[in-house]
Amino acid sequence: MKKKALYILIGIPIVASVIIASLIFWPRATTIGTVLSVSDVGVIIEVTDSQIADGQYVVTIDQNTVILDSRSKHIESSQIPIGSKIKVVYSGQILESNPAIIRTCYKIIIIE
Amino acid sequence: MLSSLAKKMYCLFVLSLIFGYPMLSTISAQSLDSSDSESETYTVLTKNFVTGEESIEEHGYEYTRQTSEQTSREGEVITTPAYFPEDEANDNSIDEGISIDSIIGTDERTQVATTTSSPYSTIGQIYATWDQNGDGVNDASSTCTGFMEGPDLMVKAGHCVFGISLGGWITSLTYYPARNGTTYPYTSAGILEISISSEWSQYENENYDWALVVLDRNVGGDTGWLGKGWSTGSLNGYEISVTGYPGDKTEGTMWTAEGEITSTLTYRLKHDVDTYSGQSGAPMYSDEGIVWGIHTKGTIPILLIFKNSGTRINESLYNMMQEKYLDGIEKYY
Repeated sequence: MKKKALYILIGIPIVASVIIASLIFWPRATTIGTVLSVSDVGVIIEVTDSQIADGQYVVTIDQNTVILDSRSKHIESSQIPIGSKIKVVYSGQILESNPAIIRTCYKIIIIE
Repeated sequence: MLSSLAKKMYCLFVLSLIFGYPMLSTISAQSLDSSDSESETYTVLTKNFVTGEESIEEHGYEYTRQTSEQTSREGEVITTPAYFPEDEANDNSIDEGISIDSIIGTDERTQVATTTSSPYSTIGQIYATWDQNGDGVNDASSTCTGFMEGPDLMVKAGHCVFGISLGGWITSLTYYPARNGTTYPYTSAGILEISISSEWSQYENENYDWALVVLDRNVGGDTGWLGKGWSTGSLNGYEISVTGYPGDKTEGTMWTAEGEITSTLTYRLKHDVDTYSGQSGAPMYSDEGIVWGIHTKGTIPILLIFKNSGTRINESLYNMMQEKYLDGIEKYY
């Protein structure tokens, strides 16, 4: 019993530390938007009702960006349908031009 | 019940969590800027928008990089003063007469009522077009903020003129000095040439998110220009203003907010001033009109450690700005 409690009490701070460290070193933010245009290197989306302010955003796509369709199958950026709703997972960094530019996009998932 | 040893261990873990968090934040900041190099050569890409030609120049500036976040203010400080032409609304000092049109929640931005007064006359809105698909047709546009640093030298963020996701270079740019809603107090200006770092054009390295734009006329003769400064020491605690054209307000209106520099990195300055999309390229300047950085980035707060930030004017960038400034002086005076 003592051992179990000890493991829990020690384990919780360790897990919390790992979570905090991962958020610091590999921050993640998500937003959802409707695709307005697509190119090999970027997608322009219209964001409404999301974590960030409403409006248009340019999502930068690079070689590290994973793009998944609604069945979690890998696709190319050119296969993202205009008008589709996508979830964007990124670093939380936004370049403040207007429209703003979402940088360091880790993943794009087509949800509708 | 737990043994006293277990309690001590638990306390130790909790304490390490509490004190380890800020340490991790600092390490995180440091890791972004750590470098063993003692100097560097800037490779600058310049596009002439009259001829369409591009050229690459090596700028062999001596520059000693810092290896961690700076905290000491000790060091060399170099500045050039601002220039504000004499006019009715301006006695060559910073105008305090800002009217507050709206404050939303904790938003501390206030609208600039008289954009022709100093230092606001030196700041303007930029409208740019892009050919995202490379088919020769402009299919995207953007707005940013820029500021005068000489008779024909306008400074802004690199991502406002070159974006890999937007097809590379902008196709056109118009600068509206001191725009105030539907009022355009000064004649707009076009571009002759733009210089950016190849680190930005190739990798979009945020440390090099700046652009030096040579305009097609002597805008600074009408509006004046801001000063500039660099310091080898920390700028933490410096009180600054960030003034620009946020996209969430009435189109074309100028807004300003004050705050301070919270973190000094080799190439970046973090600050706590309220900003919004459209304010990229806005000057981060002191009461004396000295610009220390170029606002470029906002960040969604994750664990409350990320701040708004801008490109720091370091010795290299300062020297390049000074060269362009002197070119303008020679050309127009």
